[in-house]
Amino acid sequence: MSAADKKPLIPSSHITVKIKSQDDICVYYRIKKDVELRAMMQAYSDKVGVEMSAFKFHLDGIRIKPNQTPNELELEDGDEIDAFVYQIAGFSLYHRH
Amino acid sequence: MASDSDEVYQSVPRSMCANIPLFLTMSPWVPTVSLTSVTPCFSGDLPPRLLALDCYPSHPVRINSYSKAKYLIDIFNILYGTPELQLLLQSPLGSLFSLPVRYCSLSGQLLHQLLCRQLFTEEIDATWFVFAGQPLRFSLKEFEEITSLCCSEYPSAAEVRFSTSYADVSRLEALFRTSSTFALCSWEGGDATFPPLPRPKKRRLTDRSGERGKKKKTTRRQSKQSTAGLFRISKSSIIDDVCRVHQSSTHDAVSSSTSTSIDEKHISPLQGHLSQPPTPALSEASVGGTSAVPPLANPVNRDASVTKSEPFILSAEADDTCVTSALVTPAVDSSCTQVCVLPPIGSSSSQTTPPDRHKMTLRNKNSLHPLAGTPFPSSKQTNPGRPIPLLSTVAASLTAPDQKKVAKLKAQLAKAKTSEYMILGQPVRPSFFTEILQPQQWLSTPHIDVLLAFIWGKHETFFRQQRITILDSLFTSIIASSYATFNRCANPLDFVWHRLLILSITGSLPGRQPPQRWLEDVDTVYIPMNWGRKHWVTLSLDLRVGHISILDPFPDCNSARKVLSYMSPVAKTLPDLVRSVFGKSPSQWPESGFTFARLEGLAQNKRGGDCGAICVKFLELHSHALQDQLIALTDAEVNNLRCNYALALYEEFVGKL
Repeated sequence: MSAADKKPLIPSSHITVKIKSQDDICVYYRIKKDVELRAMMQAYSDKVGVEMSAFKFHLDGIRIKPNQTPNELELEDGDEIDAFVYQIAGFSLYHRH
Repeated sequence: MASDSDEVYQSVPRSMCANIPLFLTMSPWVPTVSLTSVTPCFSGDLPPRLLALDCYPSHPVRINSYSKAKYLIDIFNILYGTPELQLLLQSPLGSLFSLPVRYCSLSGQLLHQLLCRQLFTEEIDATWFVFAGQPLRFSLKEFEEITSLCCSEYPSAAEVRFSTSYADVSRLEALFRTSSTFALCSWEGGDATFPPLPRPKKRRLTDRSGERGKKKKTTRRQSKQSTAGLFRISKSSIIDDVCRVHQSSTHDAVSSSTSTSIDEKHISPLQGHLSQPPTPALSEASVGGTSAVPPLANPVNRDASVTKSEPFILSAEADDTCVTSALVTPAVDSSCTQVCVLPPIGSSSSQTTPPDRHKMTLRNKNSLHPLAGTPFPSSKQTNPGRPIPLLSTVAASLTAPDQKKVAKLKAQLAKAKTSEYMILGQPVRPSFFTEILQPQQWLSTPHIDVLLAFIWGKHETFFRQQRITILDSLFTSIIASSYATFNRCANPLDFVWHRLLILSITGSLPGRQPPQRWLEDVDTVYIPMNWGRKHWVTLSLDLRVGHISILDPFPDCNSARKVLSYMSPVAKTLPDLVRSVFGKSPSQWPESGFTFARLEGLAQNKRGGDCGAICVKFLELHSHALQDQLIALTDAEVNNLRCNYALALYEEFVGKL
């Protein structure tokens, strides 16, 4: 019997999720299952260089909130989160934002 | 005559090499030595160099890259009145003396370095240089190639064969007839007097040098142009001179055909390559697999035809069976809470009967486009017993708001500057309401999506009965961003669509119960769309005929070409999206994708900044067929509208005022 067989199987407390932007650029994060997603969202916003409030994160078409945890959303290893950036408009010929 | 010519060729280089500044022995275009004449890997002793290795003639004037051919004047003055000058002028080099040297550029340093590496040979029509151990030649042949002047006849085939076969003749002999006896004593002072070249000065990179460089570039270009012009002008005289010299000289030595053989060797494969048929140009069908998606049937022209047509007029002779209450009573009474009772639409009747809602309420006089006449859905149907839409609430938002409430709202927002509200699962700051409240303030995706959600909640029953659905701006945003990938996909049915798009079409969006499936439960879809991150429009998709009506609050903002670029992703991908979800699409839909056109006659937001709020209002008014307000929306009403929206949102999601 090898040493690996003796070792009890402990489920990992971490998962790896993928954040995919609208340009199909993927960023991978390894996060703890019981920690709020706010940290990951903030890290992604910092990486992209856009404020976190300008993003909308979706999991399987449903919006996810920063105060939710992977355990609440039943996130699994390799799940994909979509990041949509807000758009603003109000253009006119005489007025600029 | 022949002997004279020989004398010319013999005397010119010798005299120049021995008595006059070295760099003047050749014409200004000498540096463009034909590299095709470089002999292939040569092993063996070369003829002796004119100057010893790393030895250079002294000269009072430093030769640099900016040197001019001004010494031609000195030569002319020195030789003036002598027979040598006459010989020089009669030679092909004679035209040099008619050039304005001030405008002639001369790569003096390059020429100087070449001449310092000159080899001594007996060839009178060629000058040989050595560079990196390899001999370079500049002869009449290269002169001919550069100037396109015919300097000699091609050698006979037998001679070429003899010259290129090295079986019985040594290659060195074929190249050089080395029986020379060149002595450095012909140079004044000999080898020891040749000073080494001074070290080049380091150049400083400054702005000034950059400017100087620009000036130099300009002047050099100008001088090149002027020189080229002069060459063209003097070409005829040079040709005459060369022909005259040719007739009187023998060119046996010129036909050293080593370079000829090299040229032929190098040129023949190139010609073979060029003789191949050209690669056919890429067709549209071969690029990105777009052949599967035929081009849209000129929607711009359609749009243009609509815009050129006469403005829409109110249908005075509308069908009695489908007259909306709004049309009968154009001025809607705001106090009226119940305008008419609309019967529910039976699913069977709606599928079997033609779409009454899409009959013309605004009609184009000429009816140029078959779809241009169906811009407005009529909210009044023939079916009795329909639930009551509160049209007054739709129109009431255009009236002046309660100023007390507005003041209270502003006070509340000022108090809670740092707080955060949660609206539909997304955190918003108090500035969210202030931005809606403020006239001409740009609105972003959260504003539009919250407003749409609010309107959906307010009129959900009406929308469901009218087979209308509303999607948020994410739908068009995802379509636009995935359009490039979609175009690259060879088979559109194999394209992996975004899950949110599929959920939208199947009506399974969160908070939408029961689900509204397109084509089964929905005939009209309203979607806001952001154009170029600067303009909001509302799209009204008619799923029965495959047409998109664009409710644009400011058409002057975007040209027809831009509209085509913004709308093509939506128009072209929607049929394939529906097909991939439902397996089929209605036969009434155009083959090339949805058609689209901007609705004419809508109110204009020329002051700008309000397109987001107006788009939401357009959606409301268009779905309720309130075209009077659609046409005559004033800036004051827009201000009222924004205030009313802000108040309503605050009261709906935060609390009573």
